[in-house]
Amino acid sequence: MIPVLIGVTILIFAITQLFDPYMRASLYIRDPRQAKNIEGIIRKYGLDQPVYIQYFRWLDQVLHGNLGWSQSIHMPVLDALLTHFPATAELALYAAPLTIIIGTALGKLAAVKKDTAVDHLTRIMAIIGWSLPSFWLGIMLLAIFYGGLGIFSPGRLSTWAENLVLSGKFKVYTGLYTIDAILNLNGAVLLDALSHLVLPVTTLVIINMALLMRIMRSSMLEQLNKTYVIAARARGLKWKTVIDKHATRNALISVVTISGLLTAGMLSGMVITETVFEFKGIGYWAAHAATQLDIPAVLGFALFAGMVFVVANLIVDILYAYIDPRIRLG
Amino acid sequence: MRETPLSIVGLAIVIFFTIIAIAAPVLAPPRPGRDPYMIPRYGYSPIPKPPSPEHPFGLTQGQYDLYYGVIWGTRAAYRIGVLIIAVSALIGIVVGGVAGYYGGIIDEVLMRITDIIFAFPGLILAMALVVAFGPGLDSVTLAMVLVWWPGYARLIRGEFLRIRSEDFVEAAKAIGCSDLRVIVKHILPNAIYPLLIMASLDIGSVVLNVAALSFLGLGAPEGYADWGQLISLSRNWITGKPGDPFAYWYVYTIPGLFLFLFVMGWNLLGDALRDVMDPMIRRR
Repeated sequence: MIPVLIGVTILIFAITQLFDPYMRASLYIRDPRQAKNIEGIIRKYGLDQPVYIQYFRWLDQVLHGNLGWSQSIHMPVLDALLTHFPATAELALYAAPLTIIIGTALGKLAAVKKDTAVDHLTRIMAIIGWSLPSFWLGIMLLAIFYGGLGIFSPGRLSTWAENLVLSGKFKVYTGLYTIDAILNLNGAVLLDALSHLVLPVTTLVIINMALLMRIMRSSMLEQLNKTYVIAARARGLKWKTVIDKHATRNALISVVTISGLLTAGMLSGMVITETVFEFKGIGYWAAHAATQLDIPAVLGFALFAGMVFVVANLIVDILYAYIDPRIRLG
Repeated sequence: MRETPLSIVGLAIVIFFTIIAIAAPVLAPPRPGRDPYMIPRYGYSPIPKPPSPEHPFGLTQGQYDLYYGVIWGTRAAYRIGVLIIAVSALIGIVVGGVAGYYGGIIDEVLMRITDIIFAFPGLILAMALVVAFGPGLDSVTLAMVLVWWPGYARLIRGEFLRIRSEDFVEAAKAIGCSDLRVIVKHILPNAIYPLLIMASLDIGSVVLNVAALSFLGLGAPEGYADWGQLISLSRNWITGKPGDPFAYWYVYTIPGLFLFLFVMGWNLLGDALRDVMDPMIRRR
């Protein structure tokens, strides 16, 4: 994992080498007033030095949390990441478990009812979910539920709730508005925050659950053909018990192995989904920064996404060894 | 191929789009002397106009003709998709072939490079690269190639590892064939089929990613026949008019449906083919 993390920083650093030293200086600025002294920054961070020296000075800055200045929203990149993170975390908090639960449940159902109408229906759902452009799905959902029915709207909160949150009467503990609303015992804000989550979460779930459904289905079918299933049946266990207690547990192992891929899908999906629904998380901010050619912001975001993905894959590997003794002991 | 109803639907969709792409100059004749990939516009008003006999799919924001846009958008999708895949596959063959044939430290270094690229969610790395190169279709093509080739390199490397120890390779080396000759004449013809199949079916995903970048405003210049951009132009019109919430249904429904069906057609075809080829193709 450590070599890959180093590789990730080298790749991001390599991209910065496409720019001239003046442009690159913005990657080290923490305050726009520093921009007056560009020559000083070029000297200070060795931007006129050989590449490997520049890399280590840059890495030193990154490890100290200095990712440069984001001109598109006028704050340091790290601050921007931290400010926007709670919104993304809130989306993930609902989208990830729902994707896993619905995806595995439907995959299991398809396998148990193999070659019936249910199986074909879930297969078609998987192919549709896999092929739907997330940005188009988002727009269609908004057209129907916002434009047409007027039930759900884009953004994170309605104007009145946003004013309340900003007014100081509502204490912001985590930045995840649904959790903060519970902590403030404010049911109206909770409902408002939840209603704004419905469409983006639905989009993320539909797009990402296709992969899970397919993996769960094939893995479940594989388990149902194993001899331990026949043995359990022969001992007189109920079919339902065999499926729920024996086959499902083993089938879930392969779901764990692909959850790294799911993280990548979620991260990419966040950029698109947050942009469509004007849900102001890190994906929205990064996409907005990208259109403004705010290079430090986009590179900082890419570095962050790479780190998250690498760490997620590490967690998957550990989890895999934990739940499957054959890997741990083999 | 196993003939399931779904695979036939997939094949039909793919044939439909291929015909549209080939026949684009007939279906939507471009104005002489103009770049055919630029959509003609009929005025400068931002407000879309509904379908009419002259403009069967209506005019989108900026009075761009939607029918012309989706027809030439099909051709543009194939053009950029095939280009990205062809270049990625070529790089994949060279890198994967060298890594698999020589092994050792060369293999180690090349495969670590693919690891680093795989360490990023593809769309996010592509987005960062496009911003670094400066927005535009050339940047999108280059960025997508840089993100896409490692998959092919790993596939080819795996095939090379399998084949290089076979008797006919040993025999070719024994009679004094050069490395290049062994690679190109003996191993490659046996290693390339899984890549050809995987690469040709990837066109749906590649086009989807390119459209996503266009949607974010990083791809084609304004007015270029591009599904992602047409969908992006529709974002302001989802609320309709008072009393008629779906007044502008054509601006968001039509280009999105084209992109969705195109990707689904290729995915259905790929699904059917993978069922048959599964043991042969090692998925990424």
